[in-house]
Amino acid sequence: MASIVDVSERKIRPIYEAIEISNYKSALSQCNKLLKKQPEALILKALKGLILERTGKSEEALQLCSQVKEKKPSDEPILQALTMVYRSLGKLDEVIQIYENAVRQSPNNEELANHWFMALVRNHDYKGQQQAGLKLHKSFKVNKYLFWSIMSLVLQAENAPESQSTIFISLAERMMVKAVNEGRMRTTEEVHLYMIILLKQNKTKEALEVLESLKDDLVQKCENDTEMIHIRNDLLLKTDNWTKAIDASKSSLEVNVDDWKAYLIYIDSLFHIIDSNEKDEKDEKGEKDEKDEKDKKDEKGEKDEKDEKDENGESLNKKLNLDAAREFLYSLQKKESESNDVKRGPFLAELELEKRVISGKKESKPAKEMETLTIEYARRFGDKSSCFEDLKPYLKDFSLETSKKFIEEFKASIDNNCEDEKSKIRNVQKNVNAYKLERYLGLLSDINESDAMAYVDKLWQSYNDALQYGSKLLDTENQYGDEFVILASHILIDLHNRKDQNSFLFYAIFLLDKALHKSKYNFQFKLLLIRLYQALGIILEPLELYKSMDIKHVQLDTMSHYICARSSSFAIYEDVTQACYDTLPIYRSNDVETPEMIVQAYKYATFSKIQEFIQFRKELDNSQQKVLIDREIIRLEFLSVSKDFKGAIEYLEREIDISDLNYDDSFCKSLYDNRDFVVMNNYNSSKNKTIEEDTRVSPKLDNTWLKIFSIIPQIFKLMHTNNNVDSLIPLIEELEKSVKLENKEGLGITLEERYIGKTVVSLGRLYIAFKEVQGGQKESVEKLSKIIDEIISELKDKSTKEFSEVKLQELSWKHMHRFSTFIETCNYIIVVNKIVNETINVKNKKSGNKELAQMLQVLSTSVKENLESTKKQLSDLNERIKDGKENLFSCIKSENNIEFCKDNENLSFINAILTDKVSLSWQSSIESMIQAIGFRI
Amino acid sequence: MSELRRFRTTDLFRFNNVNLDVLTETYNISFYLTYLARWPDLFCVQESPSGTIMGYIMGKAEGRNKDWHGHVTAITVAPEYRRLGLADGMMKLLENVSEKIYDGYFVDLFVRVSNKVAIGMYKKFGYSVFRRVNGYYSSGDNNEEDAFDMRKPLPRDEKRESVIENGENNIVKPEDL
Repeated sequence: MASIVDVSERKIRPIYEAIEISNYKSALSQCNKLLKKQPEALILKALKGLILERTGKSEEALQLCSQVKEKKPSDEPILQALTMVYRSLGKLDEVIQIYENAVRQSPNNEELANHWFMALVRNHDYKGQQQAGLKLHKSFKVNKYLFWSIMSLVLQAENAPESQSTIFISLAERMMVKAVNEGRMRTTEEVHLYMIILLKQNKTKEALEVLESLKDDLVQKCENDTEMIHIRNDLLLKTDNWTKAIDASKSSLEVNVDDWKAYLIYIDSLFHIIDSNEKDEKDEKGEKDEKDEKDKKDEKGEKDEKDEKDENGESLNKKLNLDAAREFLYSLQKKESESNDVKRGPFLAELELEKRVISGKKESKPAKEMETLTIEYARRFGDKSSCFEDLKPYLKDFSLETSKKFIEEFKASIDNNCEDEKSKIRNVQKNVNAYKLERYLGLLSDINESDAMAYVDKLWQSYNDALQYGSKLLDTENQYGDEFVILASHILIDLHNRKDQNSFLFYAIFLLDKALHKSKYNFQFKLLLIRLYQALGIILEPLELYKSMDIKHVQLDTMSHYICARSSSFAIYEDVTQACYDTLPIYRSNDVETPEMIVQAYKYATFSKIQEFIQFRKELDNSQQKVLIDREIIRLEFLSVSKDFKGAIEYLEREIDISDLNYDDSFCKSLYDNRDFVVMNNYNSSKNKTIEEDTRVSPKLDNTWLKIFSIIPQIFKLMHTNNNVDSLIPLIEELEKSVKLENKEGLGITLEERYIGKTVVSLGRLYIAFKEVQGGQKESVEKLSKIIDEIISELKDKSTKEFSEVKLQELSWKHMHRFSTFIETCNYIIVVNKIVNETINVKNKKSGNKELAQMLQVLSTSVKENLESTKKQLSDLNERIKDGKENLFSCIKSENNIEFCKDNENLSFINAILTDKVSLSWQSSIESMIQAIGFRI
Repeated sequence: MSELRRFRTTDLFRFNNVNLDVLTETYNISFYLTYLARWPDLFCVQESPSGTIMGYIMGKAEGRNKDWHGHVTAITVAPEYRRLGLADGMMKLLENVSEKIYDGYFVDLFVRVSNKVAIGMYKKFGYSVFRRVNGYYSSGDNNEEDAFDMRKPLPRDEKRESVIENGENNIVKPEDL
């Protein structure tokens, strides 16, 4: 048997050390030296394999490793070295095999056997896991291994077709029952595993029975585990155990009077009990008329008890009706009112209870009307910032009149004459809530422009007034009145969307930027600023703001869309490409770290988390954002490399791999959209779009977008490499279908992107027609010429003439997008033109080819003319920006101006924004576009 | 008013409103998942009735013999949900689990000596300073700051051996922890 003892530790250590500091050259020479003396020493071979792998010689490394593998080593250092090689080359099967072999060699080595199991876990080999788990349990008699095996069966069931799935899960259940009978189930996590098995089969009754028959210290363990409590409560509801559910919720509330879930369980159960009471009443009416209403209820209550055979149910059902429930909540409220730190729980629960009474079809009436309850709540908790969110669900059905009355009463309840600072700070929050609710209730929807501007001024004034209370706040804290500024910017965003005047966006930027100086880390300010600047066609400042938010790790997946979506539109190619690339490490981390965490979950027998970790890995691995960024990077890079034709061709050859550019429906369906669109505060009425939607500069990227920008590089790759046009046709057809999709709300592409797609469709057809001509089909010459004419006339149409007229204060994202996509389109035409041209030049200059060459020449000339004229417009625009910086502000100011802009003290602040943030970014984008054109004419 | 429940792994996709706050650090995947894999019952989240994550607490159980205890690694509440007693609820939960499930002697946590608000809050919850750790917080440049190691004894520590009087003067170096 192979062994490590052949080579002494003393001799090997320096090799390990060299590898550790990545000094592979020295490691290799030391290794070779020792190998000369002991050519068969497996550890040396394995280490050499590792060094070779690290230096990029994968083939040689694998060869060496397979030599070692054949000897079936079972020494940990050898196995470790092999594992490292195989793992980094993605050969997880091999890792499993070497450990399987090793376990056979040393069946009593528990650690080896553990490694074997974990190798199976990393490879998601559930069947192998199950068997390995059993074997481990048999050999080493540790309970944990048995549960590993059962867990593996559950995973097998989840991933098998339905017919087999049932077999696996019932086998898991049988094993579990046996384990329980043998007294092996001792931890909460094992109970959890049991629950997973039963719930997967919808065996709710059985699951509840298991929980209720737990013994010894497991009872206490589960009673103190929030997750187990939740599982039990869910089971009580699912099995119609209303009385017990009520008991459970009451005991939860004894511990935590703010437990919302407990209130929901209480209220749900309450209405079920009332329902069944009424039903029984109807059933019994004919039989027992003599008794009065109340008695009937009582008796029926008793009947329920019997039906449920519930010994602990006491006489709850008898008494439980709406009034009793109200009494219960009032008693909790009373207790809270007497405490120093009043919790919201019982008060919000009252709103929920009465809301359900109102929305129910019953004759029952609410004890208090919603108008009264909400205003009472607002009066009591108006100084909490959560008050707005708390009340939202209960204000939904308010009429305009009720809404007005509510806001009036709430505002009137704020005592603005109070003296002490604490109360004043509380008032700030109350006013903020009043404004938020006013907006949510739609009371501002038909406000006219000048009133709206006055409203903005009022909010800004309130913000300024509140600043004095925050002078002692730390740098890291937000000022008390920050929300006033958010609300003001929301009004300005409304106005912009209504009137399409950029000045409103500028005003919002001024206010937010100013307030950001006082609350340096307010991320709500930053998110809004990112969107508003982008709307004006500005990217440099959003990039800075984004960086300052320290977005990292998993946030890269959820937040990067704020900066990466359509980043090519701003034409600051290097910076945005970098921003896209900076997002990618999270996906690599997921590949490397998450499988190890699944291993950890097994190691600590945390069965409740294994499926979660697997799911998390999947959602991140199949992240839509990951694919969207990948396609955006290809766009950006292809444009940048095709400054010259050679670069474009090299890129197509080296970087574009068709198999990586998946876009079909099943692929799209497998993607997870993890993008965070809800983190931006939103106070809009639920009938309207959210502020996040209101501030979107362009449609949200979707699978149609993904399709278009996956197909385009594929078409180019095929044109370059494939002489066979057959594979091109379906791609062209698919692309055409996507760009012709009906333009409806929610479609993720812009008109300009349609145009790019349309042009590439034409280019693909051009290429095919050209191939036909070359193949001797003379009639295709005409086809070719028609396609070229079409492309040329479209180019003229889309050429950006009207932009020479654009006023600086109207410059926006749309203009940047038009310019940049036009350049991108021209680039595609140029590249195809050259691909085709090259083929002609290679061949002998036949007379027919001459004709073709002329046609291509016409196309090329037309592209250049259009680019020339675009360049001229861009240069003019750039000059105007340079000259116009000084008076941009006076152009922005319209008749309806905000007070902030009238204050001379703010002038230098405003000018700094306009010069350093606005004009500078515009110029950078435009100069970058001019440069991109320059390479092509 | 909230639902206090275990942290779910996919909550990582939706905790931005909490984690974008400058004082809440975002760690790598392994950090969160290690806690979830080892102490799933000490990593909990408060969720609002509308389903927004309001804050979370992550903790572990560690130490030997009489030093066996629950430790609060991180506790955070999103700015808009402060002053609602959420931290209180989460600390109670961690203490309860440390006592009933892990059978620890005490619960402890570290806090910046400058963070008066937090220190006041922990004192209200029954914690006292056990020692002051020199330069526990160091962020590269000269931003070193001391930490208070604050503790609260659990019933198992009948003689209250895990706490001392005037721990503010009990100064230790980070390497001696």
